[in-house]
Parts: sequence; C-alpha cells; structure tokens
Amino acid sequence: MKRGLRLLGVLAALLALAPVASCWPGWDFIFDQTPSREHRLEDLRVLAVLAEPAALAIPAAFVLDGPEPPPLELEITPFIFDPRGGDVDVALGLCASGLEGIPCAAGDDAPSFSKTVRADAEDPLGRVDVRATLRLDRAQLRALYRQAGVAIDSARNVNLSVVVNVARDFGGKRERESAVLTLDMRLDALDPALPAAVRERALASAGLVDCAELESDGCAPSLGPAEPTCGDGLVEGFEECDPPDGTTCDESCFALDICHAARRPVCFQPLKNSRPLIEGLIALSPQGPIPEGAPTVARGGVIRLRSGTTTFFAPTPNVSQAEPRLEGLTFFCPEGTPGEEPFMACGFERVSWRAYVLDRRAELFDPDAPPGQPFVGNTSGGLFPFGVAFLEGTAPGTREPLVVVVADQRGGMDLAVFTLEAEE
Amino acid sequence: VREPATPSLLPSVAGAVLVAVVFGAAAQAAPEVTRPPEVLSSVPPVYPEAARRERRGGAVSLLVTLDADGAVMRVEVVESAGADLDWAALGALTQYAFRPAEIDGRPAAVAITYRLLFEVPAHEAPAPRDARATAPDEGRPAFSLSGRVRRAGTVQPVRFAEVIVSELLPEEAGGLGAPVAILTDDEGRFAFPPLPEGPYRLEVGVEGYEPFRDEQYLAAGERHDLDVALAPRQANDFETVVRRQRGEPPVSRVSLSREEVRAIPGTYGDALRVIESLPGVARAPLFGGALMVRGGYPADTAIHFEGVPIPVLYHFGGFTSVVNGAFIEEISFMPGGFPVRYGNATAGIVDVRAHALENDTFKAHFDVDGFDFGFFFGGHVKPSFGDLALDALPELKIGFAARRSHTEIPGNLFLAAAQAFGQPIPFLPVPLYYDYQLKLEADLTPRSTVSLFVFGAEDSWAVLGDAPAIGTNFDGEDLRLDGILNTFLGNRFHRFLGSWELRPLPGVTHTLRPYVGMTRRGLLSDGVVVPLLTGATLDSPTDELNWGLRDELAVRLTPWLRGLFGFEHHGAAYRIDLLPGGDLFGIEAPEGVATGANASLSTAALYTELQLGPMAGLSVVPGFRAELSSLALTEENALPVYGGSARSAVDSWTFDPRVALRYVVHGDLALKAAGGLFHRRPRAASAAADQDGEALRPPGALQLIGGFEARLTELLTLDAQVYGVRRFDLTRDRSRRYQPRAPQGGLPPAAPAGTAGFDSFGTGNTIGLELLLRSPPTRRFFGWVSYTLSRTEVSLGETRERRVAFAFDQTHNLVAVGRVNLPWEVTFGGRFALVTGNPGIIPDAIATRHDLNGNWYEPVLSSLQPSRLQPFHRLDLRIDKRFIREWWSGVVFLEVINVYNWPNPEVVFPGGDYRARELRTLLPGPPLLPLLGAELDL
Repeated sequence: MKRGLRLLGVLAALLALAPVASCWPGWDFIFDQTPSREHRLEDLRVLAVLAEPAALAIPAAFVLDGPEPPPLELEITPFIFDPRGGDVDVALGLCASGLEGIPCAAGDDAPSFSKTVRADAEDPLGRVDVRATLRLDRAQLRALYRQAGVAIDSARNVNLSVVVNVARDFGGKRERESAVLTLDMRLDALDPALPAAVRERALASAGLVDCAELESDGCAPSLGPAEPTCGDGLVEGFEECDPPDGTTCDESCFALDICHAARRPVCFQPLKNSRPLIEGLIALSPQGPIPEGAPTVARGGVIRLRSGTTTFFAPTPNVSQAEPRLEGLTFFCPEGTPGEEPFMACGFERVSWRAYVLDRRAELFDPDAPPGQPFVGNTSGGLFPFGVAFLEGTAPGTREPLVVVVADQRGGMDLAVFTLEAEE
Repeated sequence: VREPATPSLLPSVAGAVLVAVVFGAAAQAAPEVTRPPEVLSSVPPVYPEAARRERRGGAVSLLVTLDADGAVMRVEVVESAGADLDWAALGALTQYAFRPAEIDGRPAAVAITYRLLFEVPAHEAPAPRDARATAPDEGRPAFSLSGRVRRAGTVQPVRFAEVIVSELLPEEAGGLGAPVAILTDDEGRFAFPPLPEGPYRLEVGVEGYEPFRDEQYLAAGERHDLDVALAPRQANDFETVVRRQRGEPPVSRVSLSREEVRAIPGTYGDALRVIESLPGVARAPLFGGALMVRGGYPADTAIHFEGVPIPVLYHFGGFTSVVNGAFIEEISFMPGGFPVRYGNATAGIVDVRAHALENDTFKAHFDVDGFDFGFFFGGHVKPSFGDLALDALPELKIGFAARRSHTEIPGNLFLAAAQAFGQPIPFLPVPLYYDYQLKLEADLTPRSTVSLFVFGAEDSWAVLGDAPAIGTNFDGEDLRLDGILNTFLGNRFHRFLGSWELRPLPGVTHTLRPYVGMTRRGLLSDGVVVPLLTGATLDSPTDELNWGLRDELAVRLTPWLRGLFGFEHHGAAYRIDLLPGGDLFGIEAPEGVATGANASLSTAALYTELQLGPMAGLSVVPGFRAELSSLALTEENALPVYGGSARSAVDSWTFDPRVALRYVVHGDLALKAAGGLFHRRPRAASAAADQDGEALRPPGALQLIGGFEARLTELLTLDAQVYGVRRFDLTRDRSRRYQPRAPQGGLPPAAPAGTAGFDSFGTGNTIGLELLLRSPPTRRFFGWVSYTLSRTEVSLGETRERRVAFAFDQTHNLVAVGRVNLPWEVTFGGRFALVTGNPGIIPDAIATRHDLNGNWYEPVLSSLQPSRLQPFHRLDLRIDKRFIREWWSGVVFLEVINVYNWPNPEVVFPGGDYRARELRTLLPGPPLLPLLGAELDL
C-alpha cells in the first residue's frame, strides 16, 4: 500500500510534468523522427561508380617472375552531382582488403587520379563529368595484395575498393563525400600460363582441393551427372534448381555447368564482369510482384504524372555476362569422404536499385507506407518498388529529373536519368 | 576504581539496573576513569517464552568486557536467573554498542558489571512497575490510569517505552511532583496503580521515537485508558556510519540500513544507489546497477545475501531489489580490505542481511505500485495435532513475501494509446519479474536456533501484441522474440538456505549454513553494457545447479583474543546442450545427434581469523584463506572441443593472507591499515572457451590500504584512506588483442593456431585517495561529502599502448549529500555529483563513407585519439512533508532528478543519418525528472 500510493503519485507527477522532461536531449535520439533526405539530391553526392571491368582477373604473368606484363586497366566513371553547381575536387584511388566489409584507405603506391571539375550548370542535376583510367602495374598490384593481407600467388578473393573522394567549398565550409565501390579481384588460377605447382598452391591456399587428385571421392560423380540447370546469373530471390532437391543455391548451378564444361572437377564460381544495365522502368502495383516484360518507360524516357497521384515503378535491369571465366570460387569440393554430399556455399546475387529526386516538387514513396511517412526504400537495399508523385498543386508541365541506380553485388552498377513531367 | 552508574547508561530494557564496575587495565595503579562507557545502542532481550508462561523473572548480572573501541569482547554471567534468562541476557548484551570508556583521557578496555532485570509483563501481573509508584493519598480520591503505546499511524505496539506521570503542582511547590514511571510490556500496554486526582503531566519516551508529552486533569473515579501514538524519529536517525563489526577493525566497511537511506535524493530509495555516493565507487553508467569498486570490474565485487552468493541483487541489473524490502535489514558495503570469510572477489563485497523474524505479533503487508504488487506475511505458529498441542516442539516463526511485476498493464495501455492516436505499434517487449522469500525460524533450545530460508527471483521478457517470428530454429520451429530476449537477458535463481546456530558455551558460536539452488543466466546476464566494457564472453544460457555450505566457529578465548574458523564450499554443475549441426566454440556438433558438454565448478575454502587486542587502543586482525577451485568440462559424443576428452579448465589453489590493524590514538583519532591478497575465480565461460590447454589462473589483487578517522569537531568527522591495488592474472580475450597493422597498411599475419581463446596475462593498477567528510545526524542536519581521487590502468593487450585507462577511470569523483530538517515535519535534501568523464573515443570530425555496393553509409572519424567524455554533474533535490495522525501516518514528497536538466552523455557517436555530419548523443543520463510521491502507513 505504501509503495503503491507513492508510485501512483509518481506516475501522476510524470504525466503532469512531462512537458518539462521533454526538454531532455535524449528523446531526440530515442524517438528520432527526422525524415531521411537520402533520396533527395540537393548537394554534393556520389551516387554511382561504373568500373570496367567490374572484376579483375589477375593473369599469371603478374604472379610469375619475368618481364613486366602490360598493366591492368580499370576505367572508372563516377556519377557525381551537385545541383548547386560550382567546382568540385575529385580524387580517385584504389585500395584492397582481404575481408568483405572491411574498409581500407587508398595507399600512396596505388594508382590514383585527381582533378577539379565544374558541375554542369545547364544540368538541373549538376552532373560533374569526370572519367579516369587507372593502370595497375605489377608492383602496384603486389602492394594491393599486401594491403589485403593475401599472398599474390593465392587464389583467394581480394576486395578491391575504388575510392571516390569529392570535396568542395560552400558557404565558407569544406564539404566532403566519400564513396566506395568494391570489386572482386582474383588470380586467374586456370591461366594456362600458370604452372601446375603454382596453381595447386594457389588453390590450396584458398582452401580448395583439386578434385582431379581425388578420383574416388564424391566430387565428380555427384556433381557431374546432376547437371542442374537453373539460374541465369541474375537472382532476385530463391530459385528452385532442377533437380529440386539439388539445392536452391544458384551459385552451384554456375559452378556445375562450368565444372562440367571445363571437364575439370574443380568447382568454381565464375568471376563475372557483370554489367547491369537499366533498360527502363516498369509500372506496377505496389503490392504485386515485379512483372517481367518490356519496360513501361524506356531508359531516359519521360514519365508523365498527375499531381498528387503516385505511380510505382521498378527498374528492369539486364545483366550481361561478359566473358565468364574460371578464375574464382566460393565453394569447393568436399574434403574427401567418398559418397558424402558436397558442401554447397549458398549465396545470392541480386540487383538492388535506388531512386533520387531533386528537392523540389517531386517526391518518392514506399509501397504500403502510411501517408506522410518519409521514403526509406533506398536504405533498405532498394528491392521494392518505389512510388513517384508530384506534390498537389504542381503546375502542369513541370519537369524534374528522376535518377535511378542499380547495383549488383559484384561491383556492377548503372545509372539512368528519367524525366518526370506533371500533367493535368 | 569504581565508577557509579550514570543515568545515561540506563538501557531501555525492562527494569534494567546497571551497576558499572570499571576495572581491568585501570585497576592497576592510579589511572582515573575520565569517561565511563556509554550505551550507544541497545537491543532489548527476548523474554523466553517458557519464563513468560511460568511468570518467572529475575535479575541477571553480567560481566561485560569492552575493548578500547567500545565493542563487546566478552560477556560472562556473574549472577544467574536461570539458564534461559541468562541466555536471553547474553544474547542481548552481545548486540550492544558502547562509547568506549576513557582512562586518563584515552580510550581503554574495561569491564563492567551489567544487570538485567526480567519482570513478568504487566498485563499478566498488574502490579506497580516501579518502586517509585506510590499509593494514592488517603485524603484525595484516586483514579486509574492505563493505556497502550503504539507507533503512530499503526497498531504496532511500542514495548519498553517509559511512561512517566508527574503531578503538576503550584509554582511555590516546585511545579512538578515526584514522577511515577512504568514501562510498557510486549503489547505496549501499561497500567499505573491508583493515583490521587489532580492535574498531571504524562510523558512517554523510548529510543527511536519522538518523546510524547501531554498535560491533563485526571479526575477521580474514572478509568483513564490512554492511547498514545509515538512518532518514529525517522527524520533524524539517518545513520550512514562506518559501523564496525564487533571485533573487526573497520578499515573500509560501510553499513547502510534500508530505512536509513530511504529519503536520499537521487537514489529513488534504492540502497545500491546510495553506495554509489560513497568513496571508492565509480559512477555507474546509464541507470546504474553495476558496481565498479576501486577500479574493479563489476565481476570483481561479490554480492552475498545471508552469507550466500547470489548472481544478482537487482532485477534487470539495477531496477529494484530481488529481495522484498520487507526482508532486507541491512546492506553492508566493503570497498576493500574485507575479511577472509569473503572469497571470489578482488574489489569489494556487498552483503545483504535479512530481518530476524519476531514472534510477538502477526503482521501482514500488501503493496501495489506502477510496476509490481506484493505482500508480506509474518507470524508464528505452535505446531499442534488436532487439539493436541505439541509442547515439546518449538514455536515456529514464519515470514513469507512475494512480489510480481505487472508491467503488462502499462504496456498494453501504451499499445492501446498508440493505436488510438493512429500510430499503431505492432508489438512491445516488456520486462517481467518476480521474487519470493520464505523464512522459517525456530529456537530449538535456548542455545540453538534453526532456520530455513527459501528465496528466488526471475527476470524475463514478454512480448505484447503480435510479434512476428524472427526465424526458425534447427528443428524448423519458430523463433519468438520473447524467447530470444529471455535467452540473452533472462535471469532466474532459486535458493534453499538452511541455518543452524549453536551456542554451546558463552562466547562460542557455531553456525552451519548449507544451501542448494539453481541459476539460469542469460547470455548478457551482466547487463547489456557490462560485457562490452569488460570484454567478458557470453555465459551459457543453461540451468545451473548450485549447492554449498558455510560452517563457522567463533570463539572468544580471552577478552583480547577472538578466533574465527570457517569452511566454505560452493559447487555448480550445468550442461551445454548443442543443437544438432550447431557449434561450440567453432567446433561443429554432429548432425542428427543430441550432444553437449557437462561442466562442473567446485570451490572449497578454509579460512581463519584472529582478532587480537595486544594493547590498549590497538587491535590486529590477521586472517588467512586457502581456496581450491576447479572447473571441469566433459564432452559427449567425442565432441572434439578439447580433443574429445574431459578437461580441467581451471584447477588452482589460491592463498590469501590478509591483515587489518587499527590503533586508537585518542578518542578523536584512530589510525587504520589493511593489506592482503584477494582472488576470484576466472569466469567459467571464459575458461570453457579457452582451448589452448593451459588453464586460466584466478585473477588476483594485492591491496594495501591506510588511513585514519578523526573527529574534527562535535559535528564533523573525517575518514581518509589511501590505497593501492595491484591486479594480476587478469583474463584477456585473445580475440580482442590489438593487432598492429603491417607496414604499408597491410594486415598482420593471422594469429598462430591454438592461440584463440583466453589467457591470464592481463594486469592492472589502481591508486587512490578517498575522503569522507561527514556530519553525523543531528536534529537539524546530516550529510556528507565524498571525494575520490584515483587512477586505474589496465593492460589487457587490446590497444597499441601497453596500459590504458580503465573504462570507468574517473579521476575525480565528488558527491555531496545533505538533508536538513525544517519545522512542520518538513525535510529538504539534496545530492550533487561532479565526476570526471569516462575515457572513450570521442570523434572530433566526421565525414561520410558511402558504400555503393549496398547503399549504406558509415561515419568516418577523422580522429581516434583517446579522450574523455565531458564531466558528469547533476543535482538532485527532494522535499518531504510528513503527516502523523492517530491511526495513520504519511509522507508526501517531491524529488527532482537532474534539476538543471544537464544531458550528461554516456557515449558520443556520430549521427545516424546518411550525412552523419553531426555529433549526436547516445543515451544521455536521466533527464530532469520530477517525482511526486506519497507513502501511507495504516
């Protein structure tokens, strides 16, 4: 009774004096209702980087002693915007990490590029047009491998990061942005120029077993005849393999096909120079599945919208497989017990997308989100349709850009700009 | 030398008559007793039930030996009144506290004769209580005066209160007649013999209560039955004293009564928070609950309840006590230099003691508040079989309490409100807890007491609303959110504690306390913050069987020599079940086979302590503790964690010699010192996860403490201590070991095989100065200023620097607490704390790194130099207004936490938006929080 009355009074006091306690700065953190403005293009931004190729296969000549091979070339096209215009300092660099998700800093001995570029004043997006080709010689490549902590003669994957640093002065302050695109980089273990002993060592260092030496184990017999055929390189979710009980992992399909074709019972995941391409946007119902078919709006086309009416779109990316080769791996044959099922390292390869508008009349919406909720579709990975609308009262004929970016998980990106036009 | 008794020596016990005979050291030559001993606190003897039934009383004369600190060192019966009354008198006297006697101005050991008089209670023998009670004048008609004294606002009787009536006389006759005094009985009743009619002054007084005075005309021929309600002297009896335990030099012991600390601002009435206001304790982060004592991690401080280690003291790490407040008598806090009876701790000890049960009345208490509801029931029963009372069996005292939270109610209200306001919240996790205590106690004989104490508590989570399944387990079953929360944050323990106390001879006490129980710890049972800060690994979320016992023998050999001999054993066994296909420490469990590992933890300790008084003013307490710890793990199904065989992860002896000294220079100055070794067991989870084949060593600490206590003025005391702690064999987590980057930014080579897990190469040092300037309680004011200057460094191999500041290294820690008693039963108190900010990485510039592959952003900190958070400072205020009415009393209070609403950030981290350009504050301390409350006693 005693404590009850006391705490009843406490609760009453809390309610009555809540406005006083509302001054506490901690509420801002706990109940942060600040809408994200990530999808609004209003200042200096790096929205995408195109790398060609999007994966680096290291020829044997970079590992072996001998004459200096021709440098590896990496063409970098960053998509930098600043609708306010002005000069932007752009610096490109490379660094490497042995573990995915571990950031790295561009070293002094890695190829780099820097330039001051003026944002296009005629473009409402303020595109900063810059492109550079970075060339990697043997010494620079070995420096990157050292940075990643991976031996140059290993078949392990190295995450090569393309670092794009941009900066500018505005309003007396120095604004900075940094964007990083991570690519796969591996030794081409099947380069015919690679001696067998070196290849075996490279595979072993990556935890692989060359099944050619394990004739009696279950690798080749169990993998070979199954020959499941599924997957086309672009996976947007789980797919059933054929046979269904084989696995639901698309990676294996690639590997099996290629293993079989190569007549080598070494299971590799191909190192793909994937290049997703935005063919257009397809209009859809926010609740329905993303349909297949021709895009409703072709790449660079005009989307006409009535004010206050939201239309949902998803990009229709196409992924081209440029020269899939047998340089990489993510799973391997079992370590040997005959008849044992092979261990499958499952993984997804999915394409995500993002959309951006200016800080003007156009707005983006998430499907199923209550009215008034800020758009967060980009930050959730960009796997769901996004709604586009002009605010009520937008004058007919108003035109604003819509930027759509797609990215796969192997470093392939594309960016397309559409035009939103308000109509009656 | 004989010193006559003085009135101030009169204890408040029934008819006690004291004849003090002071001799001993003073009896030798001509030293003079410049100040006799005084009773500071007394405990009334328990009137033996058999003697009460037989209406048997008598006087017991005791020879009481006091040391130079006034502690009772020895009590002997000089004049017996029967064995049961003798024992009752002995039991009472051993709990007395005296102000030491002084001989030639210096405190000295003395012996006094103390006489306790047992009288049959008044209502059973309505005779005059005092020889001064006089018969009425023949010439004046008489009246009868009786009544009852109770605690104001309750029906609780006040026994042994002195009731005095004095006739009011004309001024020329002296103003006041001869007083007639009587004491209340166990029921609080009193009855005077017939007194002559006239105006009288009635006075009632007893220790702990405000005196009562009234004047009225008592007419003849009437029977006056008075109801006297005494107001407890609650506002003035705060006592956060460095209260010494008898015979132990009090180097670093602070005893806090729950009632005593009830009204301290900023504590929410939580005694643990009061401990945080004392020297040597780091300010705990966020909402408290973690005790970091003199640079130690929370695990370095052990928590005992009734002498049994318990895993937690507060629900959810700092919410409310796991023991019903009705059962808590005292929380003792020892920040260092603690006796050898305490093991498995290298920093401090918190020892919670339960109330002794009373057998005078039945009591029931119910409470409900915004968080929980509970009840307490206390009473006594006489075992009987039908109509046949079994007189041979002792009376059984019972106390039972239970409490359960009802946070579902506000949680559901919150969900409903959110729905009503158009912001529906699909589900809401709410914490739930319960605890219970059952205590049975009986005096088997006058010389032995047995008790059984059953207690336990559980913290769990419930999810209100419709929470989706988080996933599926290996069996394809849904994983629920509440299950996940309970796995990580749930706690549960139950204990059955028996106690048998035997007093075969005067000065000899043997105590045996066996217990069994179980414990379930969540993976983050130490709290969400602590594992991150301590680097501790996860505990196993499995049920753990606990058992143990403590056997102690305390013997007073001579007035200057007391011995304590003890044996302690604690055991635990648990099993780690592995899901088929899961893994343990990275080792895969076979598919389709239930497997696991069994762990057993066992410790046994022998300890002994001597309490010596070799010379006046000096006491020396050497002690020694030897402990054997072992942790063994047994694998099933040849799980290849330890090579497929049983393995002993910890198997170690520790030897802890400790000594404490105290020398009273004179009545106002005492010097004190302590030193010794302290060990605790390695965390079982860390030891189990260590696979390098080398058993972890118990982390240890060498403590050296010196200081003094001085009475600066009558109203100001100072307790100063300096200490140094050298920690060694600290467990290090190799996975957190700092790896310097290779030249040119490359990663270092991988750690060699077999080096994963833990080792025992961590070290640490703490030096500190602590000051406690205290104004003892008076009728107007009490308060203290606590200041700690300290530096703690640890070397755990987690940073580039060999030694870094402890995560809670707080160079300056200043806390001031005060409370003033104003007129009209109003008290006003305040608490101010100023503490150096904790060490941490404070980002001083921010950029954004945009990961284009996944479109996520992370802050880039331009500086990672070690720094500190801003200093913590906070002011809390509280004002109480007390009401005392005839049958109820109450308190209305307003407590304001963080009066000026200072944010006091605990962690600073970059903002969460895609820009991350602004620094944001993560989890600031409590905001300005006014708490208005009321208490009501019926």
